[in-house]
Amino acid sequence: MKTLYDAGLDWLDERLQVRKAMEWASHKSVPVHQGSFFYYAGGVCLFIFGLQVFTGILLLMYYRVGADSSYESVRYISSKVAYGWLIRSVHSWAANIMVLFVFIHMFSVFLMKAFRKPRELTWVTGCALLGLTMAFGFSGYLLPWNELAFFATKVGTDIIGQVPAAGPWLLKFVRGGEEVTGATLSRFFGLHVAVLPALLSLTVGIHLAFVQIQGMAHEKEAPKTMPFFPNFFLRDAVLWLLVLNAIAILAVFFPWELGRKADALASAPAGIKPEWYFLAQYQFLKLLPARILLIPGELWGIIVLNGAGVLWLLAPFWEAALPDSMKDGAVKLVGWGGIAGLAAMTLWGHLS
Amino acid sequence: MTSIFAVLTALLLAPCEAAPAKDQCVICHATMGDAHQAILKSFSRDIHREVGLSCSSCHGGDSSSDDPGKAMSAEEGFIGAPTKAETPKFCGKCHSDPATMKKYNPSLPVDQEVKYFTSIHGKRLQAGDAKVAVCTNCHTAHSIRPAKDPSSTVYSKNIPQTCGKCHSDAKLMASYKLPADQVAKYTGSVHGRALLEKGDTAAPVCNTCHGNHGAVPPGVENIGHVCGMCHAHNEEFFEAGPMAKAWKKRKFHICATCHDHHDIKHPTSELLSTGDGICRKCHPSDSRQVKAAGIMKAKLDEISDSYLAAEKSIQAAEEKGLDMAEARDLWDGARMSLFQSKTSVHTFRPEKVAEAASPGIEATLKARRSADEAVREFGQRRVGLGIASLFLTLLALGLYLKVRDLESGQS
Repeated sequence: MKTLYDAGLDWLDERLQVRKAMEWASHKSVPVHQGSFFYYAGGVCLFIFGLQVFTGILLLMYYRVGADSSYESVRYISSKVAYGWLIRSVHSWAANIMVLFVFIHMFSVFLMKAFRKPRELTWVTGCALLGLTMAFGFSGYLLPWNELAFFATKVGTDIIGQVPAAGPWLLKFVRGGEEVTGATLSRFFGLHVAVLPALLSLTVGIHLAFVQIQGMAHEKEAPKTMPFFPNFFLRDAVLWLLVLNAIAILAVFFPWELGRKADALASAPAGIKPEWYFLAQYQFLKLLPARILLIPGELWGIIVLNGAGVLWLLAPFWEAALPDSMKDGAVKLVGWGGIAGLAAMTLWGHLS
Repeated sequence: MTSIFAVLTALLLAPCEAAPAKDQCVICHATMGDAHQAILKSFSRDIHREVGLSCSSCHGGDSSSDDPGKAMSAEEGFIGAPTKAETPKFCGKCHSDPATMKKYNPSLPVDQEVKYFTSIHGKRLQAGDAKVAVCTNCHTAHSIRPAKDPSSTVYSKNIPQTCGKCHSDAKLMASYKLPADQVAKYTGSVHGRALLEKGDTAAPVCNTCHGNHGAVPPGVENIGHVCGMCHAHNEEFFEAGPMAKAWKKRKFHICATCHDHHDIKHPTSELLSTGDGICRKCHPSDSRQVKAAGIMKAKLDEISDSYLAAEKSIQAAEEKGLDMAEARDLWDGARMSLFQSKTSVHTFRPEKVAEAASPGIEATLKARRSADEAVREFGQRRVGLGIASLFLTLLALGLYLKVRDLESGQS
């Protein structure tokens, strides 16, 4: 007598050859070593992305984009909609924790040298995912149309205007005009709920496909492995539940504030700062003098930051070109230097 | 040191664009001792100096001549320092002339001199009293700044001190049989505290009620109008109410009888107390007027208590990070009702006070309910979180045990 499970599986197998896929999955394994814990960071990012899609869709049911309605609708969500405060708070906290885990995932991959051949393209798609995640954060931050969001977006987009030649055009393109207005809000909304989810889903798909094809990287031959299904997957799930629990606690005890509605005519609130994941770059730009060798300091800053970004993106390629004796040292120096630099600048930015 | 200052002053003043290229007044007086140098120092910041006027613009004479006999001769129109009696006309030479004033400040009135001679100060001066205040007593002689400048002696926050120079001088005031405690009383009054402690320059100061150039004490007949300039509804209600006629007949000060004048305290409902309230000064405790006061007091206390309770509830909710915008709007609206009900007391009709207070009481109750409800719901959130958190933790623990079980079997 076949069980209902087997009967269902047979039905699907006849049509989609699912047993073949299951057979493949059952052979999938994960190396077990000292740094195995960091393998879970990527899974947490994926889980939070799913959480963001779910809570984002719920918020979309009440959110009304527009300079006259965004703030009011978010206020309505927070104060009138049943569990609206929870969904909004979870969405905001999860966004921050997702960025944190993206950073943990990225630096752990870098320090474990998992970007090396044949995983160069996996690294490149990962970098693209980092960019998309940051763009998600930046665009989503404006959507409540509150004072902080307005001025943070004004300052953030001002930096784009410093790009030589194309700056003014880029600024106008991003803002939908000369200033941050309702047009900017509409653009950011479109970007946040349509363009970025599509791009991120596609890139995540490619990134995961590469990981499946190449398997988990490990520097040396790992002494043992563990099956992905069910062992690693169940361990992943345990961490997901703990992260979800942490987000729920943060959302309840520290509900995300809405603040005052954006007012273009008001002066910027004192001590305004960007979100923590942009704070290091912001602090770096702030430290630069007005002009260096007759060129605006901010432009130098943009060149340096973009240069660092390109070097980071091309890490698998320049690292491969280094003499063997220098490779490990260079990775350690760049990886730990990057973490220390980002952490120090973020802390400095936070305290100043 | 003095001579260094003299040279610096001369240098500072001499090359001014609108002033004569060589101001002999400055050059000579800078070498003539501390009193002269002090005048030059203060005049360097004077508004007249800033608009390009020099010593000779007021005092006459020829400022280009280095011969003192010629420079300060009657032929050259030298007036010198005016006496106190001459001062209003001395300043009025320009300040009463629209054509001259238009060149420097078209928005400045030109009736100061005319008004001054209608004031008690002006009238006494004309009668030969040289102790009264003239232009320079309030504005200074050589450190004159526009009234809007915080360093001016007639800037609103400095006026009590300026008037107090004479009016707080007990000996001087005794000669006029006037009290000398007005400034001290004003400083502790609701108006004085608003101006001097909170820095609210819209708060009334001496000249708001007494006038400035035409300063006279408001009489019994018009004190209501003076207070009514700001407290318009209070005056309107009082004038239309049952007390106005009787008070006028008895020559009571309309506002000052209950609120005092320089020593005006923040009015509380205690003024209406049936025990020792202000009404008891005239009405016996069992009179219908005192009973009416008691009813009005109860209504004022009700709205005030409700207003404060609502604020407390809203604050408690906001401290928990809850959005209380709607409750705050209701509460803000109730503040208007609170003011209106206090103002309505001047009708002396309890039903009018109740009418003004009831929307506020209703709004504050609604705001309070909403805030308390939000706090209750906040408490429930934690219970909900506790249950969800426990469920998630148990699930995570279950999965972890499952993995361990699985892995012990595999090994």
